[in-house]
Amino acid sequence: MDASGVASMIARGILAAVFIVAGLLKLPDPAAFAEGIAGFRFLPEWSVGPLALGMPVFELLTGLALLGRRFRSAGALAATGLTLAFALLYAWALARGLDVRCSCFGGAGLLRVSNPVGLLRALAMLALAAWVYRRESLFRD
Amino acid sequence: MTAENVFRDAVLVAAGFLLSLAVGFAANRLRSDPLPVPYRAPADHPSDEAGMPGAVTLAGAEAAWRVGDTLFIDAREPDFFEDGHIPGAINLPVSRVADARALSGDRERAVLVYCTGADCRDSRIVALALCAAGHRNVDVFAGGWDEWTRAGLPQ
Repeated sequence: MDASGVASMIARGILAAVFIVAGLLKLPDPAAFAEGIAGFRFLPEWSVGPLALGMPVFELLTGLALLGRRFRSAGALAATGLTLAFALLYAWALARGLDVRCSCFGGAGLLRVSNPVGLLRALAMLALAAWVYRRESLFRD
Repeated sequence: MTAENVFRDAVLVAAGFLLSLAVGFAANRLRSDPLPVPYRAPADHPSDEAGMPGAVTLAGAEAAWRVGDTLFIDAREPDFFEDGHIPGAINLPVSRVADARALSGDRERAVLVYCTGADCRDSRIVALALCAAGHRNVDVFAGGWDEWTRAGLPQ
């Protein structure tokens, strides 16, 4: 495996770990996550329930897909889309001066969206995911 | 990276998302405390019944502040509190809410809790903790710091 292969493996490992942990932490308490999503007042109310139920599973699935081989590039695309959406939502909340919890990691995520560290984190993950996707879709079997 | 491959991945991602929704809904039905769908936000204003915090408007908060015998509690995190707060307020963020028990002994004293504004819930959380700690005269100023500063009141 060349250096780029090792780098991709590490990048996938980081992304997968973050998504799996984020998904697992949100799974047990959909009500807290729903309250977190609703707090942003960004999405229409009808979408809050389905998202609170589906998103933790989707994050878990994305993490697992990144670890495996068969769905690796789809997982990387999902990770890119998710982190892009998170970064946009975060930037929007920051611009509006919202002071709600990020809920990135369920009830345990006490980081507030008024803290720009969260936006930097989302952008770093976006760069990582986009790079992995580009590489995986070039070198797919 | 061909368009065909990207399309195939996008179809897989969409399928994965639908699968996640199905699994999430199915798991929710098995829970003992399922999330109601469509989601209903918890009541915006705590009721004024015994043992629960009441709600105060900007006018009420200003009047209480001018009279001066109400203890104002700022429920925001210390960084925000240090940037500016209602004069005389003390800082009791949610992260230190366990200290609510350690507040002054007078459980009958009027207490008014606020946070950033209508979008934050911390004032309600702190107010409920104060009620649980035995305070009997706790109100929430839901308009919070945003409404106070917009009205040009002293900082």
